[in-house]
Amino acid sequence: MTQANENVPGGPPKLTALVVEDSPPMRKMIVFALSRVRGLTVVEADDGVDALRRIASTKFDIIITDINMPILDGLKLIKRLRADEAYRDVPIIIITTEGAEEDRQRALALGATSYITKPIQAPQVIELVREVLGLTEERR
Amino acid sequence: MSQDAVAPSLQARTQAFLREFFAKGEQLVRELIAENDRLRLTIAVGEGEAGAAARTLERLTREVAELEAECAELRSAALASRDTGGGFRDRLDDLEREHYRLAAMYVAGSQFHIATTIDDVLRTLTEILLNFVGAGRFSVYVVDEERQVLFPLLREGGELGELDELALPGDGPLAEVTARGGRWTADAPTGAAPGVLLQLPLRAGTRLVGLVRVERMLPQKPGLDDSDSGLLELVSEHAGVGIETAWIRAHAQDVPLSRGALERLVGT
Repeated sequence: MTQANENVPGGPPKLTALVVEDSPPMRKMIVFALSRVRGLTVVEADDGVDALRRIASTKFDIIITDINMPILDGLKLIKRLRADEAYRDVPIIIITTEGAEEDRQRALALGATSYITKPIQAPQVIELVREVLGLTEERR
Repeated sequence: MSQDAVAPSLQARTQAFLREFFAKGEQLVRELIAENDRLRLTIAVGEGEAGAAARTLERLTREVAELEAECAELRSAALASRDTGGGFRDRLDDLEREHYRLAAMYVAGSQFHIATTIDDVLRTLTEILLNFVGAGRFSVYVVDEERQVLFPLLREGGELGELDELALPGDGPLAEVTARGGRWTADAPTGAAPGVLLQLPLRAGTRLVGLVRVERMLPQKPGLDDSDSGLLELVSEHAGVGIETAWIRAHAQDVPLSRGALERLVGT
C-alpha cells in the first residue's frame, strides 16, 4: 500500500488512480486532466500487462483504461481485476471510441463502472472521475 | 243587582287596568333604556376594537412593505453576487479550457519531437487528429518530389485504395494550400473541394512535405473550432519537420558522435 489512503482529517482525500493507455499522447492528456483533481495521485501504465505489474505493488482507488491495447487489452484487464478480491469494487472507467458500442457493452457487462468517449475532453474526465469517487468539486 | 253597585266595580277595574298598563309601559321604557345603554356600550367597545385592529393592520402593512423592500434589496444583491460569481466561474472555465488546449499542444509537440521514424510520425499524427482534434475520416498524403505529386500514404476511417494521387501544384483549394502554405477550410471564400472539410499542408520550413485532408469529423465533434487552430498549426509544422527528419535519418550514414566533427559543425 502506498500513502494513497492516508487521509488527513479535514484535508483532501488521498487517492491514487491508474491510467492504462498505450497511446502516449492520450495517456499524457488523461494524466494532465486528472492532475486537476485535488488529492488524486496518478500512475501511468503502457498496456494491460504493465497495469497488472503496477497493481501488484499498489492498491489503486480507480482505474481508467483503454480497450484496444496490445497483448492484454482492456476487456481482459477488467476480467482479471474483477476476479481479484481487492479490485472487485474498485471503479473502472473505460476509454472507448464512438463507434465501439459492442466493446462498451462487453466492458460494462464484465464490470466496468462507466466510460468516456474519444476525443476526450478534460472537464468531462474530471467530472466523471469526481462523480465515481464521490468527490465534491474543488479546484486546484 | 243595582246600577250603582256595578259602577264602582267597573271604575275600580279600569283604574287597575290603567295602573297595570302604565306600570308595564314604565317597565318597557326602563328595559328599552337599559338595552339602549347596552347597545351603545357595545358599539363603543366595537369601535375601540375596530380602531385597534385598524392600527394593527396599518402597522403590519407598513412592516410588510418594509420587509418587501428589504427582500427586494437582498434579491438584487443576490443577483448581483450571482452575476459576479458566474463571471468568475466562466472565467475559470475559460482558463481551464485554455490550459487544456496548451497541454494538448505541448503533448503533441513533444510526441512529434521524439518520433524518429516515419511510422512514429504517422502514428502521432493519427492520434492527434483522431483524439485531440476529433477528425473521424482523414488521409495523409506525402510529396513525391521527383514526380511532383502528392500520394496517399495513410487513411483513417476509410479505404486507402480509394484515393488517387494529387498532381502538384494542383488547382483551386489545393493550389492555394501548396502555394501559400496555409490551411484551407470548407468555409473559406475561395474555391471548393467536394467532401473535404480541411486541407492542411505539412511543411518543413518552406518545403512542402505532405498534406492532411480531413473529410469528416467524429459524431461527437460537430466541426472545427477556434480552439483547434493552434493545434492544427502545430501539426502542420511539426509533422512536416518530423517526416523530413525521419526521412533524412532513414538515409543517413551511421556515423558515431565525435568531438572533432561536432566542434567543426558548431564552429568552435
